[in-house]
Amino acid sequence: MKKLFIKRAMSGIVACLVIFFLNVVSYASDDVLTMKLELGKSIAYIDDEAVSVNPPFMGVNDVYIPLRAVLDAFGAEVIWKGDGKINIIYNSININMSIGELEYIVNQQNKLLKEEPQLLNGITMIPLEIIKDNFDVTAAFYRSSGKITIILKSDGSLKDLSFLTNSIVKKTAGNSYFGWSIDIPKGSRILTSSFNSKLVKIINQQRRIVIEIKVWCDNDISLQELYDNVNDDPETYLGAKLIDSSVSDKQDAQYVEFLYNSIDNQAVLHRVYKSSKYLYDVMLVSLEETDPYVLKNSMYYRNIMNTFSLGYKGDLQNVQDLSKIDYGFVKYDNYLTLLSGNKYFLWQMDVLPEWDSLNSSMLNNALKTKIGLNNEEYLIVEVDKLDEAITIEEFGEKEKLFNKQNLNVKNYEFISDEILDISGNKVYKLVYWIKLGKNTYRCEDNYILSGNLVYNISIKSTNKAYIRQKGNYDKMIASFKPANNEIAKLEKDIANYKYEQSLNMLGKEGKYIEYKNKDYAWKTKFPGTWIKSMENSSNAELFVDPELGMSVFIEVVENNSVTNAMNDIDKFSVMRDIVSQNEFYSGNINQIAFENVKWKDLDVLVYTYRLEDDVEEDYGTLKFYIINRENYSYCFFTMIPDIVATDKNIKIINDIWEWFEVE
Amino acid sequence: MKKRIIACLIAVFMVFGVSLDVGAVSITLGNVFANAGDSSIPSLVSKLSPSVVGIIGKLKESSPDYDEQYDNLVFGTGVIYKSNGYIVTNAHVVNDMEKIVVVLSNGKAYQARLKASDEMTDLALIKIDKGRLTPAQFGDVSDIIVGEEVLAIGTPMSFSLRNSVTKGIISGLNRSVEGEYRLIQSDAAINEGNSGGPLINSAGKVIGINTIKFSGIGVEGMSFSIPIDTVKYALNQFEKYLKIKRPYLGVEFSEGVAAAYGLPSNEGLTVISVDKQSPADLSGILEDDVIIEINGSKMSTKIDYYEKMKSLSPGDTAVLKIERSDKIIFVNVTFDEKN
Repeated sequence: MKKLFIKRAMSGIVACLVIFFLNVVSYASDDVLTMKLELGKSIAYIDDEAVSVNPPFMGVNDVYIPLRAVLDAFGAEVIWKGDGKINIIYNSININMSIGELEYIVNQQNKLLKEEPQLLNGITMIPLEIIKDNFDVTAAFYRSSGKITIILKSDGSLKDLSFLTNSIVKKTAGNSYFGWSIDIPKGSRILTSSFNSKLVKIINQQRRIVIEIKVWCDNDISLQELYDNVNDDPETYLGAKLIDSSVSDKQDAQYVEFLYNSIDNQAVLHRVYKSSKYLYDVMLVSLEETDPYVLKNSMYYRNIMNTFSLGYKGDLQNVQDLSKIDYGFVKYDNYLTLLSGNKYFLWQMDVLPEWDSLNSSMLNNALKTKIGLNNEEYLIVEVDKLDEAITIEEFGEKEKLFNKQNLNVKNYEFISDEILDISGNKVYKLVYWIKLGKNTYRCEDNYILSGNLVYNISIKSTNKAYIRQKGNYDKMIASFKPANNEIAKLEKDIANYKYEQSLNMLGKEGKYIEYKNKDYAWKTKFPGTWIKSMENSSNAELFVDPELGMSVFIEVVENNSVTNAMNDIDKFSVMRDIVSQNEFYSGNINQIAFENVKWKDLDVLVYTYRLEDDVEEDYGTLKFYIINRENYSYCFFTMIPDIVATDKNIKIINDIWEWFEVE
Repeated sequence: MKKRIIACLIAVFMVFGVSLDVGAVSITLGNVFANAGDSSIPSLVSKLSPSVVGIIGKLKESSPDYDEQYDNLVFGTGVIYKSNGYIVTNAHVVNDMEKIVVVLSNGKAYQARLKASDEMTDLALIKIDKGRLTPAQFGDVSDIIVGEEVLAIGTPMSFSLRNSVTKGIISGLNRSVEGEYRLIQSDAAINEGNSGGPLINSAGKVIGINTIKFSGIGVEGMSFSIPIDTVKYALNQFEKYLKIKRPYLGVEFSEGVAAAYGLPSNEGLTVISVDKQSPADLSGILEDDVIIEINGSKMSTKIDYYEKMKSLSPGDTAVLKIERSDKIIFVNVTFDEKN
């Protein structure tokens, strides 16, 4: 009897396990969630599990279901915003609705319900329409039985994690904006991609290769010219000794090809293609081959290169689009790393895809970023910390006043100013003309105050270029987003940086400071904000106004038989470098005056020159004051750029000269 | 006959009574043992597994650890504490992530949103849009008993061989060198992979969230976890305000020397500076005042202070017992909100 019992029990258990496994198999797919509700019933079934719910009821046009019960089962986020406003977030769906209102918003699009959401005994009930219309479900209401079935068809699980690993999952990679595509071997991933996807480096570790594609926007040069240039001077263009070069004979895919070894002795197969808008550098670098001919002759490598083609527009299914461009713009994130080593997100702005960062060592201010296509098309974003709380109106007035006091009326003309609201930012827009040589530029400063920081997006362009790009510039400014995180730390770091910079100042803002050169016994006074060059030696000292660009250079030469016989222009290195050897400034330096004057009972020779550099757009007046004393000769040099040559600033330079005293 | 039917029915009930919301067969079989009351380590692990998630993301470019040359992937662990997709983890795991991906024990991956995070507690709340998940059971602070065996559970997924289950005992309720809150000290090994995951006791309840942030580098056998009462405090604040609203007093204070060493002390917290126009300033608290008690709770260390602040909110009033020039005074302070 016992044995039979056990046998039967065992078979029963086995049967149960079989059914269990079958059920497990059928529930193994999490993609489908099935909810079964019924009018008037307070029990619903979610995947056959009974849960208690507020009973669904019949409205005028639609059946009402309990919002919480259904959306919790989906896993959606429900935010109660008060006043009957509800926000629902489910993956890429964002719904905003209100109790009692027919109008609701889905992903910023207005939609209209046939029946409004209701509050019943504190429970929010929604028409089935909201679920049916906005979620990936099959939903049905059977009037005859009062049964409601909602099947969630997908739960948004990620099928492709290649965005995390930067893998190339398709057979071909391309850039729909810059118009190129190339077949990529399996198992490759993106090593780097610049913010505008102009430069993409793809690595395949198994094959030990790196494929690099770089897009250039200045394509005025023909492929033949480029070919000749590289052959003439490969070191400059490739940074390597050229092993071989050739021109393709294909009619449809014109390119020039170079073979060389990289600086790490890796074999490189380098082709340059040209389209109507761009030049393309396509490089295949082998991480283990050192003989570039292998890349050229081996079918495998050549086959990759030969699949490179122009013209991809983003319209092909089997091509992974690496373009980061959205509606003609690309996001540029600017990060700031200052003395503390902390890296901060400083600002973000949409820019044109062809643009790149143009920062150079000349612009060595960490708080300034120059971004653009070239020197004709760019803008500068500068950040500063306000010393005290100020309204944007007050700030604007200060800027206008600064320009009036410091910019020469011959070179500067105010056009307009206004305070605008752009994308939630209050912007003070100051527009003016700047004349440099023969060119007149339309300049625009857009100041944005955010907390204790002020951002300036400044644009300088010819009027023609501005009219052509106006729409784009306006869009870029409208997209500007200042830092919004760790603001206190960021402000502190910027304040420290400015303080460090100010340590280079001779004195304090607003005060003059006496400066003595003890070795050669001369002295004068400078405005406190002027800085001294780091490279000064006691017989040659340079002082600069960092904000306005005016400078004073004082050189002392010992009188001896050699120097006594020299002309001033040869005796003083400052005159030599600037005037005869043109080393300091490029452009034309022409003498316009020479005077012999009496100054403090001394004979002083004054040479006046004009600097006119149309290339760098540098224009200014240079003066050399030469004083010959018994043991030493002095050269007091001043430079005032035309643009800041207002009466106020000319007086500052003259005062420095007036206070100059030699032993 | 009846007995057999009953036996079958019991068998059916036992099997079907098990939660069906995960697909992996082995885990559900494990659940059978757990429900039967077996607290062996394998059974505890499989009981908690559905609630433990792997978190993987790409570092933000602004992160100091971002390096263009490498893949910049970061890993961690999280605990599902609400069935509709709310997950708790460490703030340091997710704060620097550009995109956060959560991987469930069944291998499926979902994009997550960062809802709130707090660096001081090193806790963060993330959300995946997935329902019908198995939340972990939270214990109470009374479940944290020195000497008790605990498990630190990492994700079932192996991200670069990092994740694991480790076992230890609760060594103490000490603090680490830098933290402001009490931490559970145990010797269950915690690494970058299982940071953000649960510390569970032998009853399978979560008594802490593991964090590598406060662990001493190169010190063996000393791991720290955020105790469950701090976790509940933070999650409560996150749900209401999307951040922790700490009461703001407006003083900078220093602990007594003995307290800094962890020795018993009656020294109190000495006020070093008082912020102008702060609640402390407005209540007349001065530099060199020694705060001895807040609402009757002894203040010896900064941990005492921050732990006390957990029970207070901006706008609340508290009585501070202060020693000033050898006299004891009582000051009423109304806290403001810390910015």
